[in-house]
Amino acid sequence: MSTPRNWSTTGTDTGPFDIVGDRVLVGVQVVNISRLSTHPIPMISQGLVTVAGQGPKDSNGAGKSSLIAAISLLHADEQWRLASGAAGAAELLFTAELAAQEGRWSNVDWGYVIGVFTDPHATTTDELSASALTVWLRINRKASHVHLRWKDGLYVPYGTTESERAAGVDELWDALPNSNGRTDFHANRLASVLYGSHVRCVSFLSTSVRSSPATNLLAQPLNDLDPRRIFDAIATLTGLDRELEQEQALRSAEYTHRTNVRDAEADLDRWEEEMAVVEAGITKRNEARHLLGNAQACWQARCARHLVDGITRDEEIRGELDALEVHARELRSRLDTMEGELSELTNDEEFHRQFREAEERWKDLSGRDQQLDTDHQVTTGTLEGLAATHRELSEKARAADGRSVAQAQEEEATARAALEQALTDKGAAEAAEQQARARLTAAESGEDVAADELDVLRGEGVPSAALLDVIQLSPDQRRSWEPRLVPYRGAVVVPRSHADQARQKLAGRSGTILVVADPPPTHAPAARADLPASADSRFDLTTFLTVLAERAGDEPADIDIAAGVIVLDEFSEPLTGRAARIAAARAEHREKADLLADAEKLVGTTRFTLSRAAERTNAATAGEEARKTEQKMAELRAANQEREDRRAKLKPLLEAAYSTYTEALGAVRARDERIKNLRGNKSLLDEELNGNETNKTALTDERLALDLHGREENWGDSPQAAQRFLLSLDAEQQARTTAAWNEEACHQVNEVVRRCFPESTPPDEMPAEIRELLIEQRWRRGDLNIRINLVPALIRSLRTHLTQTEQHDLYQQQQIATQRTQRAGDLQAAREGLTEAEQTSQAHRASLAQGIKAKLKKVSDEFDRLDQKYGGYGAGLDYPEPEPPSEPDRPWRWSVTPKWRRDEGKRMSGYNLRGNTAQMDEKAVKLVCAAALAGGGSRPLLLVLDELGRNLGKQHRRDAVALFEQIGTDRNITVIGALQDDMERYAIEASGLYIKLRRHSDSMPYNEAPVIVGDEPNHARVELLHEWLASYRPSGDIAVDDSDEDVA
Amino acid sequence: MTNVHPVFEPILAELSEQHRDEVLAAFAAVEYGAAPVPEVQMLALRDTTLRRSLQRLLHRVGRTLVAVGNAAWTSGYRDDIAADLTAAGWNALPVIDRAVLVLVLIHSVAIPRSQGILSGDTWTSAQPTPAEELFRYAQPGKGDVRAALQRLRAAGLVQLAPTRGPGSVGGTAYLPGPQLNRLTPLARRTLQQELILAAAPSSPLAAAIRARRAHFRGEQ
Repeated sequence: MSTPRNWSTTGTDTGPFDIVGDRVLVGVQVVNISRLSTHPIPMISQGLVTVAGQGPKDSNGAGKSSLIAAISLLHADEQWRLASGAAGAAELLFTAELAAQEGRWSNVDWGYVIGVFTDPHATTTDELSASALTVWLRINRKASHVHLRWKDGLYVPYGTTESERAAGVDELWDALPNSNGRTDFHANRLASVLYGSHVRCVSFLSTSVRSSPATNLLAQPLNDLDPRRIFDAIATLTGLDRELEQEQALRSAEYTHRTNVRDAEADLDRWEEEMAVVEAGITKRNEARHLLGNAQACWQARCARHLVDGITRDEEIRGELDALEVHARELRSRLDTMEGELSELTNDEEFHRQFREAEERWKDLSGRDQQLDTDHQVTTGTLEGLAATHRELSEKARAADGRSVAQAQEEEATARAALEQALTDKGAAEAAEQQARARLTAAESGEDVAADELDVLRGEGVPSAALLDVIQLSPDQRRSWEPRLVPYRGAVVVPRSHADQARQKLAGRSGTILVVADPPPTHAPAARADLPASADSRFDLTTFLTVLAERAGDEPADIDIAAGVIVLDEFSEPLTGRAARIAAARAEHREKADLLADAEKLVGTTRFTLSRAAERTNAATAGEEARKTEQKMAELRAANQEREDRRAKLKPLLEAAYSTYTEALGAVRARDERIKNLRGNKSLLDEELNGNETNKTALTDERLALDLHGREENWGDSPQAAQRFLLSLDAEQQARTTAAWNEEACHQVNEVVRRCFPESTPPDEMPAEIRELLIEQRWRRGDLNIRINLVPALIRSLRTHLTQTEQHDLYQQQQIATQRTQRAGDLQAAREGLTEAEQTSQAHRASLAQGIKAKLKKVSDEFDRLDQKYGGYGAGLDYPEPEPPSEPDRPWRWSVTPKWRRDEGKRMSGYNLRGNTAQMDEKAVKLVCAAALAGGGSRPLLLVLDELGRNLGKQHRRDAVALFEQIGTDRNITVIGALQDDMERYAIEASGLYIKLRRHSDSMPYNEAPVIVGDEPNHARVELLHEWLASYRPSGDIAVDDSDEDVA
Repeated sequence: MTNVHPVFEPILAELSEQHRDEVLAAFAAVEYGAAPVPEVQMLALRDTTLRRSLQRLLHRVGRTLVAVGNAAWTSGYRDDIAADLTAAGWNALPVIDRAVLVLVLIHSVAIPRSQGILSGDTWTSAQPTPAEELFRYAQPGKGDVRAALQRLRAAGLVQLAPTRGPGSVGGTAYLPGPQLNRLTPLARRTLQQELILAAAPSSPLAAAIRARRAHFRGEQ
């Protein structure tokens, strides 16, 4: 049997729809889900399936909750938040850490939940195979979390061991075709693809795998839910939500219409507002067009008036100009006459020449006279100076003592020669006196004999002395000895021991005589009486003297007979000894000094004589000069006299010339005065003429400024026409001046401007020409003078503007009219649509309300029946019909209030009255069942309950379990419940299928094979299903399966 | 739904489980999606009742639903909030970015619209603005314009035009970005009016706009 692919016709989604249909779940197999083993688990389709666990300690940890959660996911329980991707499904995956196996196993990234659905009535393997549909859900840890694929027939993982089944599963999945074209259906389409619009599962999941506390009659204590939620839940179960959604869709349509109407209205309003502005603008422009005509007329009248005024004024000016012209001509003729006179006066050359000649002559004579006078004066001054000089020189000449110049000069030369001689004599005397004085000084100081040599020897430490100083002569001895000693006057005595030394020292001093002395005798010498004694004990001259004495003759003059030397004697002074020598020097000096005094006296006399001779020479010279001066003075006096004479002759001539000159000058002055007068008159006339000219220019300018041509152009016709036009106006207008017309025209134009462009219009919105006129040329702020010039241009540009806009305005008005009709039509249509939609919506709502109420009535009846059948006293539902929503986009809220009798025959009381929780759960179960029965009809329903009987007391547990079993059996409902240990004994009795999940130790990552036991009526079917499920091998694999040893 | 901000609670509490999911999914889609969300994809956009709830959710955070075309939705700032934010100086683009964006809008939207190629009041367009066009008249340096374009792209205000296929101009070109879909009708209208006022201040359209604005100011 092939699966019919049902295609949705109602929703917007297209594709597979309700592929499971009436089939029921007959087996489930999971891979990598929590710690569950991969064994196939058969399922029964009615009644109670209990899932128990046997963990390492108690029932906990065996994976009961995971299994029932997987089954609820397979049945597309809304609690999984399928619309948003069922992210909670990932929590079902095997997680090593939760299984305390993180050391050995890693987390899985995906797992599979595989459900096998068949026809509930199939009883044989073939029938099962033929009707089977295998649905694969792949759960991913990462989004998208749930992928759906399916395949007709049985298609499950197979193998003899856990690992075999787990190993092959990915290949099997890959072999399945993609469910949704290139991809798979995801969680959001899970429910509709598998089950269409039917609800197949109501679940209450607890513990960790429960994704959230969801709105579900079984998920919460009943009295925690408000009536609206209860209605939602019942609506979901009964399929009413689809109806409601349709109603909502209708309301959406209604809302859309309403939005359209509102939009159309708003649009129309806005458009009307905008158009009001536009229309106002058009109206104003129309007014402006009318006013522009007025303005134009005003301007015309003003131009006419202006022209006529101009013509009048022009004529006046012309008259004035003529008068001025006549006056000017007269002035000019007077001026000509005056200029003739003036030129005559200024052009008389002869007169000027005469005047110049007289002037030159007078100036010449006068100059000569003055020259003579000046020379006379100068000569007189010179004469005075010469007279003074002459007096001085005559005074000097008196000292000449009558000598002539030549005599005086001769005497002077003689006196000078005498003086020269006297001076020479005096110089010689002085030299002699000085020599004598030097000798005296030397003798007195003892350094008159060999002074230099003695100094040298003494410096060397050689004992020495002058010979004459050493020898002492007694008066007796003088006569004989003095001549003997004369040759040795310059000798120097040195001791014999030092003779060589002295000779060396005195080398180079030629002529020096050294006398060698013996050393002094050690004992008293036996001195010879005739020998002179030695004055110095250091020197003993006995040897020298003895030799001298021996050589001498008898006569004292013969001092050396052998040699024949004679010395003239008779020395007045003793030769030897210092005193004698000093006395001699002094006498000599005195003699020389006397000679010097005589010479000096002679010099003084001679000098006096010379000076007197010089004076006489000078005086003689002065006398000579005085004579010469006298002669010159006489010459000068003669010259002066001559000049005097000449001046006297010149005087009459000079006087005549002066009078001539004075006369001529007077004539010139008179003439100048006259010229000046004439010139003054002329300039006066000139000024007058200029004034005249200025007036004329002013008038001409005014005439030009009248711009009659321009005015005529402005007027546009002949002046006569203007005149006629003005006359045609009424009296008041005729009387108007140009200024008044200006005022009027400006006013009119301004009115037009204001209508076209109100004051607030920003400049950049105006046409450039008008902006130029209004803003740049200052129409708006300018005064009348500025404005009046702008009027014609403004009128022209305004007319252009208005003409241009006229077309546009017309077009716009038509458009506005058209649009108004159209928009009104649109609005009307929208309103009609809205009314229709409202009516449709209302009608549908009314019928739907009926339907809902009928359905709720059914639920209520079913609820009552179930309650009464299974130990209640009767129950029902309150379901007041809600008001239709005020706005289409507001929800239409229904509410349901369950109620039941608390005792036989009592009034029904509301669910939210405080009651015992067991009763609450029981009623909830009954309500769910009732709703499912009322709504689903033929479709099987799966009720998944975790922690079955959690809140129930002992008695209640038994009752509850029994209730589920009974309802399930009776009503095509499969109840899957997870059991606590202590519930097990009630459960085994009541359940149609008992599944026990097993795991011995926490160290095992996965469960062992579950124990699956069917009760008496179901036992055979369970066995059949079990074998059938395990028997699957892909086609081609024909290995006989006989080793299913791990299935209990 | 475990961590819903308390501000949303009152609205979400009224909804059924499924509807709550739908509304939140649509909320996320319109708020974070780069492009407008077609309403066929989201029940909460398709259905007016849920859309109303969504609108209320958005309203609470200063946002509003914006219809794009006939069947797509996105979200944007509410007009009053936008006005407040703008007045407070938030989110202002640098001048150069604004200038470049305006250039792109003029080339891609304003000119085509005046030519009749584009209709409606959308500010997105398929008419690309070549990058040369942006650089050619750029008074600031090209580098500045490039940087501005990068920022605008990052902000989703412009996007690169496809380099192949119909409408490509060869070379780099830009289109108005998807974020412009988030403009509310009022914002779109304001933008258009501003552009008209800038481009043709003396046109009758501009006059009407000014008159209307003056009118509204007068009313307030």
